[in-house]
Amino acid sequence: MNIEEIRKILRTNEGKLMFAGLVILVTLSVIAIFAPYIIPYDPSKTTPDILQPPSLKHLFGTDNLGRDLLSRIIYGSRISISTALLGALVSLPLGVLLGEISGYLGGKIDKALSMIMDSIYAFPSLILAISVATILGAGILNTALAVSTVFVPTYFRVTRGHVLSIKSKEFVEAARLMGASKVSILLKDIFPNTIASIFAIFSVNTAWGILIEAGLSFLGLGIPPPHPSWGTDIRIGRLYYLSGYWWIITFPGLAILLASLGFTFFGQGIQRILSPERR
Amino acid sequence: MSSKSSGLLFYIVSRILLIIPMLLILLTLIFIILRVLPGDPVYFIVSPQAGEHIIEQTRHELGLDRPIWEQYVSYLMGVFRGDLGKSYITKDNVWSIIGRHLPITIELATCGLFVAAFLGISFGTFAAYKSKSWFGVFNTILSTIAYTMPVFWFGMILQILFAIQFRVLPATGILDTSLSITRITGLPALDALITGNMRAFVDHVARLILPSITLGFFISGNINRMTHSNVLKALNEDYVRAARARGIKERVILFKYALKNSLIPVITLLGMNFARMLSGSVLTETVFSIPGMGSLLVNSIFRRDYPLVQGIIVVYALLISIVTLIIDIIYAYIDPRIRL
Repeated sequence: MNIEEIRKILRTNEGKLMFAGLVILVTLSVIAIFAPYIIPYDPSKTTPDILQPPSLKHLFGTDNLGRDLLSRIIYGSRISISTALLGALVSLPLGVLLGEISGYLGGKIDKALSMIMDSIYAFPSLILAISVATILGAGILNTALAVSTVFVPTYFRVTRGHVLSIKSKEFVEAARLMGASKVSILLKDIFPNTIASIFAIFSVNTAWGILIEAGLSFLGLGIPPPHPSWGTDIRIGRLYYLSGYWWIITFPGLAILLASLGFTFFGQGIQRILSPERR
Repeated sequence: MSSKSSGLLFYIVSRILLIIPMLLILLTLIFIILRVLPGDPVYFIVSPQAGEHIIEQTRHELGLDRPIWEQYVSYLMGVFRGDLGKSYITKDNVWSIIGRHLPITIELATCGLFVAAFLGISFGTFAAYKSKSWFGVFNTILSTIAYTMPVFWFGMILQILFAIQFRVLPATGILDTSLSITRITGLPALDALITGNMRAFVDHVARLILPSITLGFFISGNINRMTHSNVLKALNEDYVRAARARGIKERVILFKYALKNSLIPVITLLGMNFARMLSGSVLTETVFSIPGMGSLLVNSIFRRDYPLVQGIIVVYALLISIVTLIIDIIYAYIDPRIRL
């Protein structure tokens, strides 16, 4: 892909949205990495200024313990985004490996694996994550694991589909005729060609992971309270928002929306660019 | 005609047989998650601080000291006999507890589905029609927001706006505490109508509006995008251009030609969103204090009512299998190529 092609893509609506997604992601990453230097207050320090509405002193207001919400949201980006990234990453090797094998070998193995993965895929993702989180207990790592179970079938489906579409191509045929082993064809010829679409689904899955982590934490099954996470902040705000303290839930929710929107725009943009219709 | 119906019948029978492996896979998955993953279900009932003797006794009572495959077989047998055990807390039969909560979720999901279909199809069609204007881009962003938004947060924002700020709709619950509905079918709206209890019906429906919009908007994202792209594609097809050349009105072309042909995949998509709807309903029910399956699941997790948790997840698996089957059959009925 040359520069002219990239320019052309960026001029389309999808390209613009993908660029917007990238801008959101870069901004959020900078905020998360430099969080300790940006925060105006200590995110876990309680003060007597409880339930203060947004003001110049506290841009996003304060929560029930007088903690500055802006600082909590900035700090929470670290936990929320890294849990989602970890969840999307842990399941990647397993899903991709099974997808490569299933798509390349075909036959009964493919049928059985596809059926298992389709059944898991059909099951409500949040309820699956809730079940796993219930058994593993609350905690950052456990939440990432609970999030990751949901994604195995998504990697599997995308990889398998991609392998099916390229395994009959000439270069794979040529490698086979030259006597390359199945493992070598999978690793050297097929896998490199699936990386881009795996990356796209990784981005979309991270968006989804942010939502699942938020959902789990909101229900009290995700990140335990001392850590600031967006979902946990909304859980805290749940006791107060109906009494008029709207800011406690509004701003963490906007942060969740923004982050998952960024990952989705970016991932879907890549998917569109890679789609065969475009080529 | 007879060959057509026998072909469909054959398809239905083979699809029903295919549901068995799917159900087995899901039940096995649930078993693996609840029994095989690290984490001892005994501690759902007794605290880890309880004496060694009590822990061992409970383990024995639950059959958790038996070999894992024996537990697996007796679990499967239980499910297929229709025996999901008894709640640890209330000692009620798990089926009868679920029977009280399931209709409420079904009611909410049905209303959510209508909202989703209405929002998704109308916005998607209009955006395809106006794809060159700002509305096309706006709709792409709107549908992605619907898809990527934290559904529980959206529900809370609606509560703040319509229940706290404008005071037009109630914030939580499914019925005012001064009212009651005699239980016949379990679906509150239907029961209120059957018994002619109009005050309860109006109150209940008013309380359903915000949760239905919450769930419906969340689901509408997918449907919106698919309608948008399908109608857009159809508007460029030869038969639409031919209709335009014949001077047929734009409105007729849009609704009768383009939209009609775009709706079949959208209908299947509605069904495929059933799983997302169940996920969304867990959060929506929690936010709006609706006593459906989702609230029941969350509450029984916190009460550590292990048989109830397992029973609810098994019922979710059954629901998913049945709905998948129904959609496949509807699709095969609409599109005969599927049966081949």
